[in-house]
Amino acid sequence: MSSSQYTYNLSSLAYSLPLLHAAAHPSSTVQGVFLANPSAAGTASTGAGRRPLEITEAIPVLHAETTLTPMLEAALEHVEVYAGKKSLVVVGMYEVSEGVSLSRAGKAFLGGIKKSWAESFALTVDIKQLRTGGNPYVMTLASDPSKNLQDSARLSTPGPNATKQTLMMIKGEKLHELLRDFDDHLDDSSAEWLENKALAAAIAKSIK
Amino acid sequence: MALSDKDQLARWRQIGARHSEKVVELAPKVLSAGAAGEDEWAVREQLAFAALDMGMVEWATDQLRALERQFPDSPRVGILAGLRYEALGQPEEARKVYEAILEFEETNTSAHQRLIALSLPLGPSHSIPLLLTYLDTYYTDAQGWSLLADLYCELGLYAQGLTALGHVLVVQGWDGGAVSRSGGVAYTMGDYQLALKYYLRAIEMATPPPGTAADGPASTRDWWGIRQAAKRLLDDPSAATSLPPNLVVGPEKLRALLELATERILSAGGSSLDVRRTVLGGQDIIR
Repeated sequence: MSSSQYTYNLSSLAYSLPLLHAAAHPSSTVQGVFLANPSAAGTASTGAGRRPLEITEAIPVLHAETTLTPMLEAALEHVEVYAGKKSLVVVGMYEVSEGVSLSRAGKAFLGGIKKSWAESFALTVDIKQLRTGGNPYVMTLASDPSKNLQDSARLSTPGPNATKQTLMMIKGEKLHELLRDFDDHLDDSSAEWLENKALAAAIAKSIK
Repeated sequence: MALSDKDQLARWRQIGARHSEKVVELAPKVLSAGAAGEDEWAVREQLAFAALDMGMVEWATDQLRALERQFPDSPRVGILAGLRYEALGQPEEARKVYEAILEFEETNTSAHQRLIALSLPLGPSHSIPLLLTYLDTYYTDAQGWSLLADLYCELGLYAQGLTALGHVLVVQGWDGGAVSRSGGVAYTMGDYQLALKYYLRAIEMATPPPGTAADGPASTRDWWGIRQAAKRLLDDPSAATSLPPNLVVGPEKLRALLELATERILSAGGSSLDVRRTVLGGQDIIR
């Protein structure tokens, strides 16, 4: 049985953060994680019978050495502790690179997350879709990593203007300059990477 | 004292920093004020590169045409013409430009590098052979060896990646970043003893002499590397390593290193310290 029993509903933060992370490091592959509370998932509506899961947070992790493991492992230990305090669990990851498919390292990352939560998913970005202002995300389920699901009924976004509003945040307000990930934290431990509070507040204002 | 726009651009050219977003802001101001002086052509070239980076192809084209008029048939300007084709999504046109430059000047390393860059979207298995041929001739190109290491690691060929980083260090022995990366590769390969050695060397290289202060905030990356490696080794003392037995670090020293790394990471202070404490305190150091 390959299908996940969930639909994944991205909050404004979860939707825009991967794109902001990519904008902050335009010549690197970037990776991060998504958090949610699966025990708070809604009941299945009729039809496909899937339960809606609100993906409330996204945390940017790496923009360097994305093929290597030690810093990723250290980062994920932090994320686990942080998530635990908020009754959240790592439910997915994202990777934004030149290509649409998950890299080898990205697949290993997803495999690692799957051990903690079987219904995990990965999001990558189709740059061409970004230009049209549509939903640029391509989803891969950990339960069936060979399939890329584009424009899937399984992924819902904060609204039809979310991409345009995210691009405005980047081009207009340059909000990606506020973003800090674990790699930034390693270079300067004052970098606040788990919550990116200022950025999160700006996103809440910009994406409606 | 803050640098003037012109001097800031010069400084970035000197250290080879891109800062493309800032360059497209500053360079036009400097040029239109007529303030560039003898730097004018270097600034135009810098602006062209930055504009291409930002996808502002028309701006780049303006600068390119000015450079072509000033320096006709210049291979250096030719590279920019090729890059413009790349930015327009016309790799075959770019390839023709670079190959033409190489016919005129076989040793133009920028043209060789761009041909390799054109092969990157095809995947590491295409780029690696080209890069190896290039490095056979241009052995001292540390960036080339660094790129080779990245490509090998993308394929999961970590041992080969480590060897490539070794060549970076032959060419740039002072490169602490390459030592740190080598630690990361060794760790990913599962050779935690070797990783430990690299991370310790990276720390040694980054530690200023006694009596001098380090400039800027303290990096905790290599201390995390030590913590991760030491923890793995304490959890699994029988882990295999490529190191000979006399270089292997035993449990007592590993515990001491773990304590030291923990102390160094915590003393860096900063954000989410409570989470960090939980992560670091989560190991039983007292066995």
